Amino acid sequence: MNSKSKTGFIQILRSFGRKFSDLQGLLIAILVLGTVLSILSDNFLTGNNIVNILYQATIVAVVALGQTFVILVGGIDLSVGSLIALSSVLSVGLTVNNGLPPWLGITITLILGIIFGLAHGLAVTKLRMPSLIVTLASLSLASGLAYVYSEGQNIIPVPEVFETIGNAQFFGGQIPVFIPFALVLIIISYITLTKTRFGRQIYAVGGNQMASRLAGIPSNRVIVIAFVISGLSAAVGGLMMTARLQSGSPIIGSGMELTVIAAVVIGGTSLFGGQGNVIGTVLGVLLLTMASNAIVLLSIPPNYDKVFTGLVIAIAAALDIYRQGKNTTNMSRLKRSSSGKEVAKNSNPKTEQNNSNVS
Amino acid sequence: MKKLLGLIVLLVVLTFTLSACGGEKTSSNTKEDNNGKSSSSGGESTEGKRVSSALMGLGFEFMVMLNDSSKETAKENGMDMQVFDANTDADNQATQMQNIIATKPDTILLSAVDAKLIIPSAKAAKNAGIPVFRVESKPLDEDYETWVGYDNYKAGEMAADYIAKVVGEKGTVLEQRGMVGATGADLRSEGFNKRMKKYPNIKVVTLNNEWVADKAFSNTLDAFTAHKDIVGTFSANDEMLRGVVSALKKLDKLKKVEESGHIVMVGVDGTPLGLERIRDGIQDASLNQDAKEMGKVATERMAMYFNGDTSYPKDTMLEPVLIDKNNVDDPNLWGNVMASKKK
Repeated sequence: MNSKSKTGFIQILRSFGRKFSDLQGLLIAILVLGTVLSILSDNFLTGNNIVNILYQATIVAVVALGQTFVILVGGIDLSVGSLIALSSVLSVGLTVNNGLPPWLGITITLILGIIFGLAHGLAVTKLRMPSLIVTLASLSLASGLAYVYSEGQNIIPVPEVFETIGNAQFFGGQIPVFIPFALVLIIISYITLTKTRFGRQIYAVGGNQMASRLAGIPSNRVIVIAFVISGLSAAVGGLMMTARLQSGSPIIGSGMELTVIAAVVIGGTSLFGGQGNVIGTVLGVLLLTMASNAIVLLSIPPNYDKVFTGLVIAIAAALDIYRQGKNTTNMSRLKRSSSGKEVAKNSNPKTEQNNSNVS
Repeated sequence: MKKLLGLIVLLVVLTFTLSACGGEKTSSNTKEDNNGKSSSSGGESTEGKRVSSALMGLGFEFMVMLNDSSKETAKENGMDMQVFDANTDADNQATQMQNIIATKPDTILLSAVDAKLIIPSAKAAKNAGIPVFRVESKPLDEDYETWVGYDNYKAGEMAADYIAKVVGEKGTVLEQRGMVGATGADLRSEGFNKRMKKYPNIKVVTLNNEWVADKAFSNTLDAFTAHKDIVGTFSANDEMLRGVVSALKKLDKLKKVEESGHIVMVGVDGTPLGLERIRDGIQDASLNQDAKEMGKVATERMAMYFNGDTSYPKDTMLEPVLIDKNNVDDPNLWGNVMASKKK
C-alpha cells in the first residue's frame, strides 16, 4: 500500500486525463449544442447566461453526485425526488409548525436523509432486496410523508437563514453561492472516488461484488455508505431547492429522480456498476441544463420541448457509442476505466476474468 | 458494528419522533373513516348515504380545499364520505374507480386526472347504477349526473385583458404554462393567447413549466436572457409564480407593484400564498377559482339528489373573480379560509 501513495499523484493526473478522453462523446455533444446555440442566439454565450446555466444545474448536480456513488456500486436510488420534497417540508415545517430553531430543523432534515440512505443500504445488503424495489418503496413513502406532514400545502414563511443563503451571491453579486458550493462537493466527490481507498473499493464492489468480497473488501459497508451519500445529497438538494423557491413544498422535486439518473448515465456511468466517474456526471447535468436553456432561448414551442430534450440525449448517447466503437472495444474500456481493477488484481488473479464477465 | 447498530437505533428513534410531529397535524385532513353503515335503501334522506370521492391529487392546495369543503358539506348532511387520492396519475385513478365501483357507494364525487382517460371508468360507474358528480375538469363523456367546474378559458382571457391594460398594451409577456394536455391548462392558455391577439404590440412567450415552480424558475431566468423587454407574466396557477419570484429576485428585478420596473404578475387559483403575495404588493392579481364553493355546490347537489330533487343544472361553471389588493382581505376567499384554518 505504501509504494502506491508515492506514485499516487501521477496516477491521479493520469486518471484525470483518461477520464476526459473517455468522455469525448459527451464533450462533443456539449460543444456541438453550445456552438449551435451561440449561432442561433446572441444571448447564449454571455456571462449572465453561463452563470444562469450553472446556477440552474447546481441542485441536479448535487443530487446526481450522490446517485453516482450508488450507481457505481451497481445500485440505483429512485427515492431522491421524494426525499427532496420531504426535506423541503421538514426543514421549514420543523421551524414554522414545531417551533424548533432553524439549525436544528436543518440538522434533523439532513439526518433523515442519512436514515433513508442507511435503510436503503441495509435492505440491499442484509435483506438482499433489489435497490430498485427498496428505493421505489421510499419514493412513495417519502412523498407520502411529505404530503401528510404538510397537509398538501406550502409551508411558509421560510426561516430567514434560507432567504439569506438563497440570495447570497459572491464576486460582487455575480455568482450565486450555490455554484461554489456545488463545485466544492464535486471536488470532494472526485477526490473521494479517485484518491481514497473507499473510492477504489466502490469501483471494486461495483465491478464484481463477489470477487471484491473474496479480496477482503467490506462490500456491504461500501454499499451502505454509497446509499447514505445519496440520501444525504438528496436532503441537501431539498434544502437548496427550499432556499431557491422560498417555501417548503411537498410537490417540488417530484420526478427529478429521472433527470438525475439520466444525467449520471449520460455521463458514462454504467448501470451495472464499476465504471464511471464524477466528471461524466457533471457534464451530463450540464448537457441536460443546456437543453432546457436552449428550449427557452430558441423559443421551442411547448409541444416540441420534450422531443428536443429526447433528441439531445439520444445524440449524446449515439456519439458516445460511436466513439467507443472507433477507439476501443467495449470490453477494454471497462477494464481500463476503473481503478478498482488494481485493488482486485493485487489480491486475486481470478478477478479480472470475472470483471469482464460482468459486461 | 456495534457502533453502527447504536447509531441505527438512535436514528430510528428520531424518525419516530419526527413522524409523531407530523402525525398530530393530519387528523383534520385525512380520510373520513367509513363506519361501514350499509346504505338505507330507498328513503328520501341523505342520512348514512355512502359517498366515494375520487380526487385528482391532494398535492394541490386547491384540491385540499375542495376536499375539505365537500367533506364538511357531506358531514352536515350525515353522509359518509371516503376519499381517494389519484396523485395526478390517470391510470391510478382508473384502478381506484374500479375499486370504488366494487364497493357500491351511493354516489361518486369525481375530479378526473384526465377527462379522456376517465371515460371508461365513468361508463362503468353508470352501468353499475352509481351516479357520478363531477367537479373541476370538464367531462368529455355524457355519463355524469352533474358537473361543477370553472371557466378556465375566461380566466385566461381576463388575465390577458388585465395585463394588457396595466402594461399599456405593449412589450413582451411571459406565459407560465401548465401541463400540456391537462384540460385546465390548455383552456387557460388558449383563452389567454387568443385574447392577446387583440393587442398587436404585445408579444407572448410561452414557457412550458408543467405546473412546476422550479421549472418556472429556470425558464424565467432563461427568458430574461432571451428577451429584453419583458413587462409582465401570466401564470396558469399561483404555484408557479413562486419560481418566477425567485428568478426575479436572482435577476434583481423583483419590484413592488407601485415601483418602476415592476413585472406585472397575474396568476390563477387564489392560493393562500398567492393572496399573501398580493398583500405584499409583489403579485398584481389572481383569478380566483373558488375551490370551497366547488366542493360545496357539488356535494349539496348530491344531498338534493338523495332527497329526490334533481332540479340542478347539468353543467355549472364558476366564474373567475379577479382578486387584487382591493379585495384580497375578503375573509370568504378560499385562500384566506385555508390560511386561517391553519392558524
